[in-house]
Amino acid sequence: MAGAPVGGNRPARGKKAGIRRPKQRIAIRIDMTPMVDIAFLLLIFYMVTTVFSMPQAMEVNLPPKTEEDQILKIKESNVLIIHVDENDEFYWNMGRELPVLMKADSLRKLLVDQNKANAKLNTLVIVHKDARYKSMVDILDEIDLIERSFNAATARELEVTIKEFNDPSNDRYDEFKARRFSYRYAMAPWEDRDTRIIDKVLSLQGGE
Amino acid sequence: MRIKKKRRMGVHIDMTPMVDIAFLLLIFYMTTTQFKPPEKKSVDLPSSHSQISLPDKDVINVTVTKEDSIYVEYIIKRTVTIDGKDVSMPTRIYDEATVHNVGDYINGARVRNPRAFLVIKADKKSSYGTMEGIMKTLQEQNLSRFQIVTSMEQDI
Repeated sequence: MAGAPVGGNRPARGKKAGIRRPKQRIAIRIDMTPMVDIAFLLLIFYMVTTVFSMPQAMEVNLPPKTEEDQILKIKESNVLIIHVDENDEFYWNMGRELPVLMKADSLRKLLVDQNKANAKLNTLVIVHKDARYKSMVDILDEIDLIERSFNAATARELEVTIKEFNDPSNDRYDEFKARRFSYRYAMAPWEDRDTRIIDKVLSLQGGE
Repeated sequence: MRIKKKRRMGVHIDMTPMVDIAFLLLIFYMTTTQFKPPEKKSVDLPSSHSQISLPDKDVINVTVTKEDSIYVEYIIKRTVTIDGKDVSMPTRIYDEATVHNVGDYINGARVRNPRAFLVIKADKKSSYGTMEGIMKTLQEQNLSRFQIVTSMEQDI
C-alpha cells in the first residue's frame, strides 16, 4: 500500500515501439499514521510545557536618602501605623493608641475605611526583620490596589477612561493630576520600642 | 422470509481535518512557547494584583532565596575571537552577593548596560530583614527605582 511504485506497470519498450499505450495511473497512498503520531506527541509536549502565566512586576520607588531638612512633620492623629511582627501577625493603630491585632485579609478594608475617613492619612509600615517578605509585598500590593481603585473611581466620576486619566499628553492632565490620589506611606525600621509595644499588647491579651 | 445478511463495511474516517487542526495547534504552541530561562535557584514568588509585565531583556536580576542568600544575575555581551573574527556572545554572569555588597555588583552590571532594569525576585518565605537590607543599600547607592517580581493573584 505505502509508496506503490509510480508507473510500475509501464510496458517494456521493445519491438512495438511506435505504438504508445496510455500510461496506467496508480493512486499513491502514503500512510500518514506515524507522522500524525509524532505531530500529536509534539503537540502534547508543547501544551504541557507552555507557561501562560508570566510573572508580573511591581514597581517600587525608594525615596532618596533622607536629609535633615527633608523631615516632614505630620499630626499624630493622621498617622496610621501597621506593625507586622516576627510571626507575620498584623497590628494597627492610629497615632499613639495601643495597637490592635487584625487579620491579614482585613487589611484592605481597614486601609479603605481609614482613607475614606481621613483624607490626610499617612500610613507608616513597620515590619519586623524576621517577618516574611510576603507580608511586605501584601501591604504594598494593597496600597497599590487602593491607589488604582480610587483613581478609577475619580476617572469614572469625570467620565473619562482610566487611560485618558493617566495620559500626560491629555489637555486636562493638570486637572486630573490635582485629583489624582496617591497613597502617602512610609516604611520604617522595626525598633526595640516596637517590640515593647507589641509585647505589651500580647500580655494584655493574655490577661483577659 | 429471507433474512438479509449484514454486510460488513470497512469504516473509513477522513482524518485530514483532525490532522490539520492538530498541526495548527502544534504550530501555535511551538511559536508561543517561551522556555523558562534556567534557574540555578528556584524561588516561590509572592502574589500581587499588579498588571505591569516584566521586561524580558536588559534586566539585572537579584534573586533572594528562602534561605536568604542573594544572587546577582545578568547577561553581558562578551567578545570572543573565533577563527580570527570577533564575535559577541551573550554570557550569563552569576554572582553570590551579601546584603552589603549587592549594590556594588548591581553598579558593576549597570556600567556594562546602563539601560538595564533592576528586578528583584525574592522568595515569599525569605525574611523581610534581607529585603530591608537590600533596599537600604540600594538607597545609599541611589538605585531608587526597581521592580519586584510577583505572580498573579486572581481575586479582585
